[in-house]
Amino acid sequence: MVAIDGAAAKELVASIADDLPVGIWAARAPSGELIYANRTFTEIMGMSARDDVAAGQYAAPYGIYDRKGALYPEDQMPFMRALRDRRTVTVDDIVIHRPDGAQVNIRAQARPIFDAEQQLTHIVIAFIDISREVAAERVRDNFLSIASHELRTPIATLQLKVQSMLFRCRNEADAIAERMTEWLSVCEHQVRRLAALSDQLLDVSRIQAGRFELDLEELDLVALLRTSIALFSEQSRDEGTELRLEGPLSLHGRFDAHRVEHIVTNLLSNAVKYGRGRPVVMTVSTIGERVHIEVRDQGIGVAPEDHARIFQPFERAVSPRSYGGLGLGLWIAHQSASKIGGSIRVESEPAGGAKFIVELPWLR
Amino acid sequence: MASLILVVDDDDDFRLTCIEALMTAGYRANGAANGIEALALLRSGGELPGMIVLDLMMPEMDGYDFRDAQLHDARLAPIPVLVMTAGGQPATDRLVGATFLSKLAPLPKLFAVVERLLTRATPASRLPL
Repeated sequence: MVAIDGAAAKELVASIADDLPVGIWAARAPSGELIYANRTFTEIMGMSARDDVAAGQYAAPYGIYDRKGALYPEDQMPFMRALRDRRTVTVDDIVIHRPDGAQVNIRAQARPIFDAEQQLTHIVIAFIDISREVAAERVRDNFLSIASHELRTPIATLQLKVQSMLFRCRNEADAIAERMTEWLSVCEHQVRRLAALSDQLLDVSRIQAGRFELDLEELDLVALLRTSIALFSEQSRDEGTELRLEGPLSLHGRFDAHRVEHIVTNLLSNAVKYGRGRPVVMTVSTIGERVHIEVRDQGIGVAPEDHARIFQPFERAVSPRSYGGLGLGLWIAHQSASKIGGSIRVESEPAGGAKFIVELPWLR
Repeated sequence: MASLILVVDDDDDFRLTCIEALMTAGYRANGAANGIEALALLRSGGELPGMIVLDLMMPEMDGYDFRDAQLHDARLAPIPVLVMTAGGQPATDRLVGATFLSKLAPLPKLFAVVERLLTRATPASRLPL
C-alpha cells in the first residue's frame, strides 16, 4: 500500500464516507452535539444535519415519526436507547417526513463508542432507507389477505357440495352409491387439504396485519378439547390414528375458544402427520395459575437442534419432499399461543416421539 | 314439521349448495341473494324461519346492514343468526348476538351449530310443530 500523508488521508476517508449507501451521523454523548454527517444522511433526511438541536429534541426538527404517523417518542430514539443501554440498538419503524413532502422508511442502528476508561463518549448512527422493503411487505400482506379470501369462497362451495353428495351416498345401499362414496371420499380429502392450506394463508395474513383479537369467554376447556378432537378425528379418519384425551372431566375458566381450538388442531394435525399411525394422547392439567395442554405422539420425533427452528415460518425438521404442507402450522400455533398470553414448546428426541406443551393463563 | 332455515348469500352456488345440504339433513330451507331480498321475504307475511344463515359481503345490502335492520324489527329480531364468512375477521361489534362459523367448517359442525341455534330459538320465531 502507498503511504499518504495525514491531510490526503482525511480527504480520502471523507470522500469514501460520503459515497457510502448508508447515512452516517455522529455526535458527542450525552449532549448530542453534532460532530459529523455524511452526504447520504443529507439525501435520506432531505436536509443537512443540524448542529442546533440537542439530544432529546430530535423528532420535530428532523420530522421523525413512527409508522402510525405520531412523532417518534424522544425516549425511544436510537440515540437515547444506546445511551441508556450502553449497547448497539437497531429500530426499523422510523418514518422520516421530509421537508419536500416525501416519506422515507428508515432502519437506524445506533452504536455507542467508549474511551479507554469505558466512558461512553460518542454515538454513531447508521441510517438505511428501507422504503422499498416496507412497500414490498405491504404488497405481500395485501396479496395474502385477498388471495386467501378469494380462494376460500370457491373452496367452501366445493367442500359443501362434495360433503353433501357424500352424506347422500352413505345413506344409499346400492353398488353405485358405494363406489361413489369411495370416489367422493378422495375428493373430500383433497378439498380439505385445500381448505386447510387456505386457512393457513388467512392466519398468516391476520398475524402480519396484527389483527388477532382476544375473545375470552367462560367455558369448559375439557369439553372444548373433546369437541376439537372429535371434529379432528372426523376430518382425518382416513389416517386411522387413535386420538385420546386424558385429564380431569372438566376444567372451567375464561379462554379464547377459537384460538385454543386453533392451536390444538394445528398440534393434532402435526402429531397425526408425523406420528407413524401410533396413538396420539392429549393431556390437560393445571399448575398454579397456568393450564398445560400436552400433545404427545410416538412418531419420528424432533432432533434437539431443531426444537427452536420448527416454530419459525416456512421451517420444518424434515424434508418437504417426504412430508407436504407449507411449514406454517407450528409458527401459527406459536403466534396464537403468545397472543393469548401463553407459550408453546417441544420436548423430543429423534425417533422417540414428540411432546408439544402448550401453557395458557388460567383465568377464572 | 321440520324447521325452516333462510340462507342469505349472493354466491348462487354456495347458497343453493347450502340449502341442499340443510335439506339433506332433514331441514326445510329457502334462500335470498342479499339483505334487501331477505328482508322482503321475511316481511312478505309467509312462515318465519327458525334461523338465518348470513353471508357478510353482499351487494345491495350486506350482512351488517341486514343484521341491523333485523334487530330493529321486533318481529324479526328474535330469529337466531349464523354468520358464515369465507375469510377475514368479522366486525363482531356490528353483529350483536350472532353466532359465527367459517364457510370452510365441515358439514357435521354446520349441522351441530344449526341444531343448537334452532333449539335456542325463542318461541316467537318458531311455528308450533
